Amino acid sequence: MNSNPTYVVEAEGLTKRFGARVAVNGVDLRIPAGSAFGYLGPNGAGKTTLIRMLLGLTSVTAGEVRLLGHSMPSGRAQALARVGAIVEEPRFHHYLTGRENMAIAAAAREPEAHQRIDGALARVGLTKRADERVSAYSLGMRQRLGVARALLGDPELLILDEPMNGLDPAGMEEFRFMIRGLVAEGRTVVLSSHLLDEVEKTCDAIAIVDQGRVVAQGSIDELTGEASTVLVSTTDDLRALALLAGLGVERVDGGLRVCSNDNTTTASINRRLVEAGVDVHRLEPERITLERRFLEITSRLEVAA
Amino acid sequence: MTALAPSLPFHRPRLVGAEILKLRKRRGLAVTTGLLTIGASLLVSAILVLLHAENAAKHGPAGGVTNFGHTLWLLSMLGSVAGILVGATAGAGDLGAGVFKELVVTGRSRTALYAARIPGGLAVLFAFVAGGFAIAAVSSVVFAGSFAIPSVSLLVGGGFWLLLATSFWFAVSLGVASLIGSRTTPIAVLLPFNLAVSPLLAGLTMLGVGRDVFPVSALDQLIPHAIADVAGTVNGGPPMSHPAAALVLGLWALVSLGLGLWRTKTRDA
Repeated sequence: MNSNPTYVVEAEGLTKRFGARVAVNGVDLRIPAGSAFGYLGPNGAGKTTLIRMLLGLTSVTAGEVRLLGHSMPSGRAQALARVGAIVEEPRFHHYLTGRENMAIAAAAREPEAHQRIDGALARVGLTKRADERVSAYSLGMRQRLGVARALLGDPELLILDEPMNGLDPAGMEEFRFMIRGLVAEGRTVVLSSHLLDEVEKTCDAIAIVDQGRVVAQGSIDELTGEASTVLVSTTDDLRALALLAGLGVERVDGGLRVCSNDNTTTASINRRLVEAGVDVHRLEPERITLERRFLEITSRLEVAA
Repeated sequence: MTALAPSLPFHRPRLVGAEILKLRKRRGLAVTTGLLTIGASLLVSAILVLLHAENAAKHGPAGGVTNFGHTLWLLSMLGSVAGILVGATAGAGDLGAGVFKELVVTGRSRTALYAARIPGGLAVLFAFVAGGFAIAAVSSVVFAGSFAIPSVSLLVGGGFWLLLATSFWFAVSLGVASLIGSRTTPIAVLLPFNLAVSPLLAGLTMLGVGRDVFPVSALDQLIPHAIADVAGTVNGGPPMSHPAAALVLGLWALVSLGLGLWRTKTRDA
């Protein structure tokens, strides 16, 4: 048993089959402690199945999982006692109040969990509505109550499956702050989401999953960052196109996209145009967003398939 | 972040408390169970009192052993229905609401989650059944008039038998509901089985000792003699010893609860 693991999740060759269909296919995954980790994939990629396997909600066909240093499923009780999770949509007894639902979840945890109910409700901004029935809650409020419930165990690891569903923009921003706050406290947050922009703003590292396999994994900086192209807009784009023809250039909406490299920098492109008498309005190194990287990887896989 | 010993025994009472909270807050279940037990007992007592008051020559006193026996038999039938309703709700309530997975991810063992349903459900059921029984018992003594008052041993024996009958059907219903993961199906199956099919089959003499396997036959054998003498054993099963009757009921309950536990431990949450 490792009480302070470097990786909170370690999965090797994790596989789940439903009959002939392979939902999760030999996934190797390491999630570093103390980070916000995004787990991305298109619908049906096997994200939720993987989370369910990590949490012992469904059996594993093949492979091994260690959660917070505990082998699963043998160390399930010890590991999950330190984990808070939302899997798919958080579910509640709708005829009970938010506070009563929290009390039911707390009863399944250690005695101290009951004392955390008020704090958890306050953290997600539900104190004033805690004594209303859950049937009167909006989807966003139920999401927040789900997060509060996940915090009852004072978790080292939070696994949140699509937690921003139903949140309005202000709610998403609050949620982002809350996630960063939880990470700042030394917790690890695993975020499964299709909201790529939110993941990029919130997470430190990500894994991209497609067709049951992890196809890319690394820090946000490694997977995004500057591209090897520059967007150029001038007073005379036709002339600029001719001037830069040898560099690899194409017309795009609003100007030109020019390939850059060690020899052809943004500055050298600018110099070449200005010296030829072409005024430059815009000279912007393109940035690869998480969304673009995600689409590149997943569409490449679709083509390969 | 605090350390934790997740298997400490003090968790169980809190889980039982959570089960009680879930059941007692279900308004529809509480009203139905109340009507089937306390309501039925009140109604019978009220009718007997009114009939006697209206025509004492034609209708005897509302209390006494005979009326106690009749009321107890009625309570056992309606209480069994309440037991089935409460058992099915306790067995499949978390699954139906999708909350079972939320409890499993706490790391608490599925066996503990399942086991808590039994005392939790029985606590709710017994509160209502005991209320109904108390009304019947008090009424049988207070309104006995010229009739013989039920002895303490008969009251105690009748009470235990009522709790046995209702808790038996609760256990079977809880097990079946946990097994199939549905609240409505066990109700739809067990109510007609308890109220119609089982008594019908137990009355078929051509089935011989095979009728012993029906719970209604076993429950009939365990009814206190004084009550059986006045209320009768309507299900008409063959005679069997008390240990045999207890064995039949125990097997039904254990098999149902065992299957429910097995499915709770193996199902995808």
